[in-house]
Amino acid sequence: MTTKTINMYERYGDIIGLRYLAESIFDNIGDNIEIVVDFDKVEFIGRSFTQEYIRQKKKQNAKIIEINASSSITNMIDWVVKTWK
Amino acid sequence: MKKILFEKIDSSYDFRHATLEHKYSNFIENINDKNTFYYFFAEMLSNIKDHSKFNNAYLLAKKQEDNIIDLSFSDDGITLPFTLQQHKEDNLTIYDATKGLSSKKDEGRGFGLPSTIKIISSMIQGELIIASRNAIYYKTYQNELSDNLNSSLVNGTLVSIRFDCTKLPNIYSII
Repeated sequence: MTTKTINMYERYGDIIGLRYLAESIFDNIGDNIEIVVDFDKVEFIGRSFTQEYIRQKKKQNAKIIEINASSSITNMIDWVVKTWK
Repeated sequence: MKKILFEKIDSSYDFRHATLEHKYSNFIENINDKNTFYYFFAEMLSNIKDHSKFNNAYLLAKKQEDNIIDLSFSDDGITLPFTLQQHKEDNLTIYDATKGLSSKKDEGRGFGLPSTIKIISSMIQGELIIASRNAIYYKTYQNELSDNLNSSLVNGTLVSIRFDCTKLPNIYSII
């Protein structure tokens, strides 16, 4: 299985706030692939971005692993998942 | 000394930490949780970008000597009442938006504005004003008011928040 790494800092910077940034995050990734989402150096992700990130993640067939996520990022992801309706 | 910053918002708005820290260096001093400050930016700018179909959008930031910050986000887009098409009276539609009504039916939508209002009004006793098309909405810890005017109040939407930056809570302690 091929692994593809998405470096969030290089792609979006250290504060990732806006929803639309997540809309194309997994575009052209391909099938039968493992995706590593690397949050190294990312300090903050907004709620809207996170909601869209999770929505896009759910649409993927690939295995997705998040690495180097600070507590601020995992807290935001947990909050969005918890309040998903 | 009062600090004021006025900037145009467009699709290339630079949201990186270094840029914000540089532009808002006079504003974020004394802020006890910058992530909460960024949270307001992210939610308000996402709303403009996602819903308003704006041609022009602006951000006015003002900080007074007593650490009171005003952030005003305005756009010339299609307005909240037009987007949501929920009630004949615009103030009722805006009220619903403050409680989580979203024009997008995707799961997980409709939290940005209510969570911002909750932090501003309930947790740090700040103030929030929304003016969109014919209606105005005002919220503080003690008051929640909305009303309609006979003619269009603004050509678009204005959301303005006022808060004491020394009182900002840790965003992750309240979510």
